Amino acid sequence: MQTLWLYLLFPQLQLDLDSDGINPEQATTPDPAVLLHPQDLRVHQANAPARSLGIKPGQTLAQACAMCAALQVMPWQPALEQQLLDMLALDCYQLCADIAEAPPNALWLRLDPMLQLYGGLPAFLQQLNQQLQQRPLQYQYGVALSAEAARLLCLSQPGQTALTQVQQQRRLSGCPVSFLHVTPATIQQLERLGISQLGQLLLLPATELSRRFGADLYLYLQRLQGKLPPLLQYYQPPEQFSARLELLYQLEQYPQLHKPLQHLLLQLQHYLQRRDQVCYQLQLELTLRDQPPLTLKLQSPQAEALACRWLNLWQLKLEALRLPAPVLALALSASQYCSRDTDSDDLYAGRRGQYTPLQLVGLLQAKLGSAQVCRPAQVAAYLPEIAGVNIPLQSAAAGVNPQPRQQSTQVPAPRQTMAQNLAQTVAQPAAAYTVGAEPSATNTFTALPAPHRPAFLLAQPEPLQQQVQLQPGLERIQSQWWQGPSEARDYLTAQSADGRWLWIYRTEQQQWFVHGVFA
Amino acid sequence: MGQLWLQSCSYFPANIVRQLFSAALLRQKTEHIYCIYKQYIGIDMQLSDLKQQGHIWCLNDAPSPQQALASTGFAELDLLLGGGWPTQQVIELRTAFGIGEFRLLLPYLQQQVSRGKLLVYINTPAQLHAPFLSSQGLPLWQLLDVRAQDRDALWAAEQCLKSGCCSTVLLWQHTLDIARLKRLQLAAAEGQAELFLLRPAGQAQLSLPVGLSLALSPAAQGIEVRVLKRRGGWPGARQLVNFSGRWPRLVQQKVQRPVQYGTVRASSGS
Repeated sequence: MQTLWLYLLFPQLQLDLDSDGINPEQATTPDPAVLLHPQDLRVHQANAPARSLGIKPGQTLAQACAMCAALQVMPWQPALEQQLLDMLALDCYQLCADIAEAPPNALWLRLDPMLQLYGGLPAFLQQLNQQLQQRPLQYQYGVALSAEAARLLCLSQPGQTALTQVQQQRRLSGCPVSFLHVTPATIQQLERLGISQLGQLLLLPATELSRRFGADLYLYLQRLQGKLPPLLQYYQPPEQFSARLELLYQLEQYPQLHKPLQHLLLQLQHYLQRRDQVCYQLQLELTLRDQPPLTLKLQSPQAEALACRWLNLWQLKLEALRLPAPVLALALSASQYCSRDTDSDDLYAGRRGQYTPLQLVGLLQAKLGSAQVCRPAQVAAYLPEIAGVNIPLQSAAAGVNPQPRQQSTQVPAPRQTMAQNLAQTVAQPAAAYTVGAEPSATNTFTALPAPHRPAFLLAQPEPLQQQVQLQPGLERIQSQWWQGPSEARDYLTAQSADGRWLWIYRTEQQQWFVHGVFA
Repeated sequence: MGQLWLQSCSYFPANIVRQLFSAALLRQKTEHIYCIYKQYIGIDMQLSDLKQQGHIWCLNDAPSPQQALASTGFAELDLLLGGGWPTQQVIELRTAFGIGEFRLLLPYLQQQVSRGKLLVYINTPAQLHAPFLSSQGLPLWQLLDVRAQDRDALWAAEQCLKSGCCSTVLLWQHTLDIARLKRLQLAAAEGQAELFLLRPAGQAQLSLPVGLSLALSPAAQGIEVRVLKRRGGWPGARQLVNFSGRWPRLVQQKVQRPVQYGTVRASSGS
């Protein structure tokens, strides 16, 4: 079966993409910039303005600086380049299923399974160009019948395609042997023998070649001619989103972080939208100068994918933050994904607002802290301070399922009424975390009168220190024996001299306390 | 026929004017209809004079129809407020804590939660007691209790009002300037929500440009409401709102002996 391969080379991967996130407006008129090899301190890559000034790879830093005083010098970072290559592989994964990385700066795309989908090579190449032109990126490609042939074609004659064996042989016969993917020693040996072009090499008998140059060259030529399958590891897109951005400058204030963060969030948005997913939680790691990195977590009860919504939440979160030291780099990672639900809003209701209830909760939590946004919850217990609690809202996806702190299991006969009542009105734990949605179980028990309870409960019972008028009707509430020291309280309604209705109780020691306010 | 003008020089008899009007209305092609007092027809006046003196008015310039009101749940209070709480506005309540101000709002809140939107409490003076709320028919999953500092509380109130997913916001706040209030009013109108602003009574504070401002004072049988300011009404009216119908256990007054704090036994206890 005939295969078809495309080799995609990015000659200036780091130079093109590194400063893209922070100052995208520079992409139109870039300054002369070079990448410096960290070991031998020679120019590794130079961009087009620098090359036009005469700077070439291989020059020393002093030579380069002599040619251009305003030269931007950045270290060459292979790790960063690999990261950028992964990003480009992810971009191309939209178009082609079989992708292999050719570090440090190239990709192999296997096209023959995909051509039927696109209806031919020109249509596919057009799509690929459209995809790649979204980034300020230089690239060149070659298409041939084997992976190695595509590589050679890309290096020697960029932009050429060879769709048949004859075409491929004709195009590659003039290819210099220095482009071959073999050890430099072999290339030197070939050149010393007077073999300068690939066509000459292919004319030689295979047995003689393998005897003289070893099996590596023989196998390479077999792969080149498509007689052996290429040794490639296909690219798999990552399961988790994580992106890192090195800053060119040290940032000291939040407003400066806005743009880099937006850049990362847009990457996240692309990642999520491709998967039709949303995520609940983001983690931002700020690398600080002379300080341990700062890790910030942000949750949104309403799962989001859109960068603008996340940015809104981050803005609220970061406003309150004081950076202990300047920021050198940002890393964003996401966790807790789920697939996006279809919007089940009423199309005709005419939504006027901006947010859903969960989005509102997320917004408030981001600004005020998650402990500050609570929901009153009810627990089946006798003591009022246990029966009504405020529970901070967590995200529904976090899987936090709080158990009521106290559960009454056995109900003594005299207090049947109240206990039944309480048991009927106990908040459903599962429902406690869905905002604005009615739980399935509804309270249908209405035969008994509701207990006489105040609207507000004081955090701590306060000693009664004023004259009050008592209302008739006393209610004794006794704590359960398994709740610690037994306590019996006689609760009464009272009105104070200034007209406030208080819920007061008397302990067995005849001490009076105010416990609640009937507002 | 785009407009129907009655020139001052033309002396139409009243029935002809009526005919003209009804014809214009029937055709529904007039954009502006000027009504004119019957007794002024025939008097030689400039139209602009008539308009200035208020004898002629344009329906387009007329004040917008009666603002939307929602019943308070108390007949006497509805009467006092001319029909109920004005909706999608900021309502100021000057009140002490614990005199029944929350119960005054309860029937309205019960009616609002049935819309399925959130009910937000910001900076309550004490912790809300869930058993009471659920016994009063306020579903707990529609409630949010938010605590925030001074400025943040106003921010939170504004976000909640704007969000469009809250029906009512209750904000306990001491100080508020006019610019902030205007923001809240705009947010309330935008999100079709209502803000009850509960402020302590008795403080010498500047009067805020709200549509409705009430002063609440304690009463034995309920709560006394005094109108401080009402759009389209006169201030100063008072009304006692009686709670004995809804919460009889709260306002029963039978025990007359005052209780001394400390060690004195309560007489009603046994």
